[in-house]
Amino acid sequence: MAQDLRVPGLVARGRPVEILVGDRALTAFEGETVAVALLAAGIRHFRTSPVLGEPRGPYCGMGICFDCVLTIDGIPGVRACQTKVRPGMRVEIQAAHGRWEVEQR
Amino acid sequence: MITKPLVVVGGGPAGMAAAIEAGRAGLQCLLLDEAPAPGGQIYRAFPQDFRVEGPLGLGKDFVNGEALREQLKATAPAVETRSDVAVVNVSRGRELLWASGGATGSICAEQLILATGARDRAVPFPGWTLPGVLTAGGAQVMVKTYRVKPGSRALVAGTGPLLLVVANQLHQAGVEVAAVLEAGRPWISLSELPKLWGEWGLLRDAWTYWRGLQSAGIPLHFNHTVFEARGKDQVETVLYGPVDPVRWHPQKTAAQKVDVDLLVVGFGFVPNTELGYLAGCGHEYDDKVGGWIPIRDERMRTTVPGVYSVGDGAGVAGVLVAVEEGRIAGITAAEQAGLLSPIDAADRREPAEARLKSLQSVREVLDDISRIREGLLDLATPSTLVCRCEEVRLSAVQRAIDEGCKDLQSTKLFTRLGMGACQGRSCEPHLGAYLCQHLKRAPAAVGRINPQPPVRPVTFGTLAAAQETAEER
Repeated sequence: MAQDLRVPGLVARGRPVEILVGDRALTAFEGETVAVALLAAGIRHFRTSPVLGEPRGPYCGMGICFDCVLTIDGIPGVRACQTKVRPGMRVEIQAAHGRWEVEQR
Repeated sequence: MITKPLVVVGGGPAGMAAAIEAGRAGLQCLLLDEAPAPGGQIYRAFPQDFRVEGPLGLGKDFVNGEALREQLKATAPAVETRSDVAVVNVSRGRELLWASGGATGSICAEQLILATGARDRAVPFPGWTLPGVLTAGGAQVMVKTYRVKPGSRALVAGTGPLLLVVANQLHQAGVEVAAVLEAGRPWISLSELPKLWGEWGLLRDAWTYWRGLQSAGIPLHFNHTVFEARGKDQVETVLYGPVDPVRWHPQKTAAQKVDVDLLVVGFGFVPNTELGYLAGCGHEYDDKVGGWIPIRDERMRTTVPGVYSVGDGAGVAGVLVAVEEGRIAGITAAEQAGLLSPIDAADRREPAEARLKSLQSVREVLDDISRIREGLLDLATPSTLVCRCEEVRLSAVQRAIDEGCKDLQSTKLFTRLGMGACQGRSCEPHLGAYLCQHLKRAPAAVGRINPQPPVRPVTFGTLAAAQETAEER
């Protein structure tokens, strides 16, 4: 059984949503952010820093610090704490600045 | 460009209160908030897809937040609330550029109330960039709003009453809390009780949280703080120990170790002043309320005509003060628009002014508790990263000083600190204090890392699309 750090009771979460983190399928819930979905599954290493190659994850949790950025649906540098999960979302742990995998508009 | 009689930026307690009073007086008001629903940090709403089953178990903040949201709804259609909208620039005083999803647009505000709130103050120490180190505010978002445990065993360190609140919330969520470390002294001494006389609600809250810790068997150490976080890919061990009671200098030789996978740090808050700065408002430095704050008069008017600033974004003072400041600004804006006579406006402001006055002595106690002391500057070692984004070590800053940098702006150009994605929001307050100490200069002389638009990230594609739309019109 995969780790689930969600606290039961008091609130009912939204409907289950399947997302992909690397090649691992995770069940999140509608209304959750990517940061919440990953932390709930025990994933804390969101990216590797560009200069020193150190592991980073959420720090401020409210959109200020940009430490939780990772690659979402081919777009690097997206704040996990400000992005809601969507069905079929592809999340990649980001090395340095990441790589665009979509056609740039 | 669309013109609005009043725009309120920020949907926390101060912004909601401002919009409510303006709306009640009949002033057409647009409330822009970057969260999915109004509430701000303290009254942050649950995600819309969540359903509340046990409101009574969710505590006072939930109930108070719901009450303000209901009052806000009742002011429709005078007040229009738009969520998920970030204001990314203010130019020529009151011209706003907003971004929402992939769209941007401009609004001209005849009057503008800034209620931009505050953020956790970042204090660098060795290992503070490891995953598993969370700010107190960030930990609250996880536990309170999303009901997720950000770790299994926690150490809570920093200063101020929020530490107790967070420790209780973590404990109730099932996180084991090893200890709470308060860098300062015991919060309420007997000599201060008279200043708090009458504020029974606050005293009861403090007592409740303290009792909560006691009954959970969580030790609370005053004049102690975190020294270092260690671990390979995440926090595994934390070193902590005593600080001197006056200046909070860490006594590193007396360090103790505790094994935890979560370190929550809360060293108070810093006002979000970027938009006020871009609007051209004059600012002054006051370390008792978080650092740089807009200069205001007693009706919350800044130095730019028609621009008000309220709540923690204008000086950290907590939710009770924020609400009253919001009310005063909302009423004054309605008076300014000619919807209230000066006598009516004065009548409506009176209860809020009286409440602010009675909170003044509480503020003095809290300000003294929360003001961080310079000993915390000694936590970072030369190899500690002081700028998380650009990965600048303290040694680089020391070199910049040796090379003759005398303010934040030149240090930024020399080291790249503050040039990253967060635009210096994390590093500026601490580095400013560091430069003041080492150069023996005043905050105004050391200056700031100037905010640059957009203050939230917007892609070039989005900006270009908005430009095309504007040209087609």
